[in-house]
Amino acid sequence: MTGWDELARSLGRRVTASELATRLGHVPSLDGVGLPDASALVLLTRRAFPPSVLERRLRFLRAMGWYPPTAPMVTPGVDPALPDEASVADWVAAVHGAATVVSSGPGVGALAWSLGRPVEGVEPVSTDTRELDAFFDRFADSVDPAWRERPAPTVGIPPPWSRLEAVTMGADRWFGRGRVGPLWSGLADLVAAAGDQKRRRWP
Amino acid sequence: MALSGLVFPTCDEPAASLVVVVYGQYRMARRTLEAIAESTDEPYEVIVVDNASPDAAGARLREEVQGARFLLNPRNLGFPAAADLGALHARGRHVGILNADLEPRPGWLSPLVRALDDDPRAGAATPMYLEPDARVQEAGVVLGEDGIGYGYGDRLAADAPEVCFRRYVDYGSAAALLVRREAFGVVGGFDPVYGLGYYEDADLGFSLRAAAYETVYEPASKVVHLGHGAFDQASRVRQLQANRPVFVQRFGPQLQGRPLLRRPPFDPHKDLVVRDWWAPDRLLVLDATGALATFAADVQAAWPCARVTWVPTSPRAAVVAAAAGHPGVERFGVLAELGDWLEGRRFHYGAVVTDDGTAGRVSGPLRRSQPQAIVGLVGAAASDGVGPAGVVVLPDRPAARAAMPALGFGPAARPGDR
Repeated sequence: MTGWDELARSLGRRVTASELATRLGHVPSLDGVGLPDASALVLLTRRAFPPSVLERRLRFLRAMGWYPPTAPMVTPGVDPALPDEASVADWVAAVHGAATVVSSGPGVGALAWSLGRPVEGVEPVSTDTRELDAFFDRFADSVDPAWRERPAPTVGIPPPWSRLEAVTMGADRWFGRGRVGPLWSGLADLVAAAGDQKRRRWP
Repeated sequence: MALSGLVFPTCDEPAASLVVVVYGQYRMARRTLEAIAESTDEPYEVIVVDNASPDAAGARLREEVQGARFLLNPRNLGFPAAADLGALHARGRHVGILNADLEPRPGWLSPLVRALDDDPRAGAATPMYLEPDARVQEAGVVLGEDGIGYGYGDRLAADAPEVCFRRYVDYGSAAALLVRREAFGVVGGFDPVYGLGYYEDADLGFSLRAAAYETVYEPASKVVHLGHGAFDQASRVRQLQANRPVFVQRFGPQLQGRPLLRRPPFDPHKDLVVRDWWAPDRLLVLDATGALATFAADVQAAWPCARVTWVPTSPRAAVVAAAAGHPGVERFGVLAELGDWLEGRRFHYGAVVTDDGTAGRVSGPLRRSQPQAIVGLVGAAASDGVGPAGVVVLPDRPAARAAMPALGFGPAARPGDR
C-alpha cells in the first residue's frame, strides 16, 4: 500500500464487494460496470469493516509492534507506515484506532466520518449515503430482481420454527386435536420480515 | 526422507497456503514438515512462522528446507498473532493453520479443500484428528455452557459411525485447520487477545458463524496430532484458565442453554445433544430394504444443516445401500440392540421415517424413546393411504421427500445459500 489513492481504490473494491454480497449473497462480475468514485465509496467503510474486526486487527498490529500502544495521529495510507504485507483491514484499523485523522482531501474526511474519528484539515463532506445505496440497489436489481424478497443470510441461531411446529403438532395429536394448519408460520414470517428490515438499515 | 534434501514444490496458484507455527521442538517441527511434504496432494505453499524458538528451530529449519518461506519473529508473539502474520503472506485461496506437532495422513489436504470449494456456506474445514494409536482425538469440538470444549469422539475407533460423516461443527482445533482466506479476512483472523494461545480457535469458529460461515468437519481428511508441542501441562492449564473467561464473556449468549459436559456422572447423551445443537432439524431413517438410503441422502442434500441418521434394520438393507449415500449422512451398520440404541438417543429426533418392514418391530421402543417425533411410514402397507394412528402416511420416496416440511423440517436451503 503506497498512499491514500491506493488505499481508496482497495477500499472501494472491498466496499463494493460487501454491499453486493449483503444484497445478493455473492459478488457478481463487475466487468464494464461504472462504479461510483472510490473516494465516495469510502463513506460506506463502516459497513464493510465492523468495529469488532477492526479492534481485532488493531490488537494484531500492536502485537506486531506496527502500531503505537496509545492512539496516534494517523494519515490514512501513509502514517503509521505499515509493512507491505499489511491488509486493507489493517490500514482501516489504523484509522479506526486514531486519536485524530490528518486529512489530505475530502475522501479521507469521508473515511474518518464513516469510522467516527475526528479529522483535521478538511471541510465537512456530505454524509448522505442514499445515492450510493440506490446505486447498489439498482445494480442488484439488474443481476437478480428477486433479491429483495429473499431472507437475509442467516446469522446466529435460526429460530426453531420447525421444532415448534413439530412439538405443538405432537401435543395436539396427544390431546386428540386436529390441526387446521401451521401455528407458527405467521410469527416466523413476521420475524423474518423484521430481520430483513434490520439488515437493510444496519447491515 | 532426510530433511537436508527436503524441497517443497513451488506453484503460482496454490490451493492452500500452509502456515506452520513453530515454537521450539525442532525435531517435532522437522518431522511435521517432512510429513507435509510426503502426504500433501494439492498444489500448496508452506510458510513457517517461528516464534523466537529457544532452540532456534526456525533458523535451523530455514537452513535445511527449500521452497518454503520463513518468518522469524524476534520474540514470541503467541500462536494467534503468529498465525495471522503467516496468513498475511498467504497466496492460496485457502489458508491452512498448522501446529508443528502433526503427522498428516496421505491425501489429507484435498478433502478439506473440496469441503470448502463445494460448499459456499463453509468458511473453515477441520479434519479428523487421531491419536498416535490411531484412535480418534477430535472429530470437531463440542462446547458446553461453561465454554469448556471437548474433542467429540475422543478415543473412539476411527471408523465409528458417529465420527464418519461430514457435519457442521462449533469449531475445529487450529492444529490443522483450513480456512477460506476470504472468510479469515472477513472476521479479522485470530484474535491476539488470547496471547500465547488456546481458545483462539473457538473464537474463530464462533466469529465465522456470526458472519454466516460454517466450520465443516471432514472425516475423509485424517491427521495424527501428537499434541501440546509448544506447551507443557502447567502452561497449557494456565492459558486455558486465563482465556476461557474472555471467550465466555464474548460468546456467552451462544453458549447459553447447552449442557455441561464430562462432569460426573458421565453422560454420553449430553455429548450427542451438544454435537447436534446446531442441527435443529433431525431425521432418523430406519430402513429394512435399503430403499430409503437414497431418501436420506436427498434430505441431507436439501437440508445441509439438518442431522440425518440412517440405520439399516436388516443385513440386506446394509448391503443394498452400501454405495448409496451422502457424506453428511450419519450411517450405521445393523444394530444388534436397536431398542437400546434408540434409548441412548432419547428425545433426539424431530422426525422418523421408516418402512413397513421395520415399523412393526420397533414401534414400541420408538414411541418410548422418541415420543416427540413425527413418524412417517413409507412402503406397501402405506400405499393404500391408511397407516397406524399418529403416523404420517408416505406412499413413496418422492412423497416422503415432499412431506419433509410437514414432518417438521424448515425451508430447504437454496444452492449457494449462506
